[in-house]
Amino acid sequence: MKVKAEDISYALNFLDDELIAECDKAREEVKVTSIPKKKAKITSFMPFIAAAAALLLIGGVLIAVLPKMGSTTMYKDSVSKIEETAAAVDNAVENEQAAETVSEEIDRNAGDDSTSYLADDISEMVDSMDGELGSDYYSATIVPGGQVDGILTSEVHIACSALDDEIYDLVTGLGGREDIEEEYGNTLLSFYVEDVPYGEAVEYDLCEDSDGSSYVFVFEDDDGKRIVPANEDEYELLRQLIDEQAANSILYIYMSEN
Amino acid sequence: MMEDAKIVDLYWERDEDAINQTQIKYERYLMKVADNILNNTEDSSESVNDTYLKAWNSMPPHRPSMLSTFLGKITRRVSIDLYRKKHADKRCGSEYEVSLQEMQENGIEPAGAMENESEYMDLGKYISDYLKTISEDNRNIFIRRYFHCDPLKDICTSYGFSESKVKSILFRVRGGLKEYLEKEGYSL
Repeated sequence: MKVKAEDISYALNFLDDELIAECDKAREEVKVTSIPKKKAKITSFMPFIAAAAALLLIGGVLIAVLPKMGSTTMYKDSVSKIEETAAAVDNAVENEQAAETVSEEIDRNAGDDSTSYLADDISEMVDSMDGELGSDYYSATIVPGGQVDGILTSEVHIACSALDDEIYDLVTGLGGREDIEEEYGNTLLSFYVEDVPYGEAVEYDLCEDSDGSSYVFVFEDDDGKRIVPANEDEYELLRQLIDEQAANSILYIYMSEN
Repeated sequence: MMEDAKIVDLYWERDEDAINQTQIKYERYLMKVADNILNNTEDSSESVNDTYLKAWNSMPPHRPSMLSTFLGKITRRVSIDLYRKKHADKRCGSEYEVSLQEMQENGIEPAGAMENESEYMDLGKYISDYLKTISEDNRNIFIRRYFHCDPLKDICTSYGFSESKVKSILFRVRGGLKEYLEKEGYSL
């Protein structure tokens, strides 16, 4: 019987309940473990607000006293510092209010099976929060990010000078290796290399076999394609290169500088 | 929040508070399921409201042991039906749409070919059987991406994996599923 993508997707409505429940549970556990982290941050934030408020108070006293001392420069410096402090306090209070709102939102949902997601307005609030507190929330995996295309459409172009020696040697040496007889396995990642010493353009697909062994599938020029070996460390090095330089994109490496 | 068993009891007692309690507990979850498929708040609300109606009409006779899964499946099915109705010839850019495109990377053609419910039920059973043969992490990543249609970025964040790693896991699981179904006599 013929099966297409939409059929598979629709048939997932008939998946075993246990499998879906297990998945939902795992998703919940990720969220729950993130909560103590942000609470600790909120607690640690309070002394800063208290200290900033105290500075503001001292500053106010200085404003009252300094003009009478006739020192214009000192007066201006102090006003400037007080203004900075006041801005810091405002910022801190805004952050604290945002933090409380987010915290309440998370706590409100804590016993809910459906709490992987926060409302958009709360997500925006988290995004707009300044400094460590905001980034800490963001990294807490509670707030979903934007949509990501599942298909590689963008390109990243880098020159060989961006590669360190080890990767440079590996990339330029791959095509020169002797072929191995290997059944075509799973393509994980691919990248292109232009102007390599042994040809003009080569596509490398990093592959991993079902037994965990790795190798590189090489497409050379027009129709030449062959498989060359790559050990686990080399494979990992190339994978990291793609992750770092071109996650979610096709990576092109230019060996000539022009 | 009320326990699932008590909410189900309310449905069986034909108490309309069942829907209020369902809304309180599951509306956000169901809206997310719908929106990942429809990418439109108005359509998602319509889909979730239909879910409440279908839940009301199906309990009794049903007494689901996992209410969240029961409701999530209804929302998913209603949302896919609505998606098919509204987007037969134009795209809406939803995660559901992207997840279907991903299957093409494994040579699986996009459009649907099956027609009756029993065929989907059989296929669903084989998919469940296959998923039980792979690791729990891989299985959950697959379900999050293709059942819940969760964005890749969310899955990556949850697991602390890079996008390329999640994509490679999905590629392998899809490849394995294709192989498994072909062994069971399906043609992909």
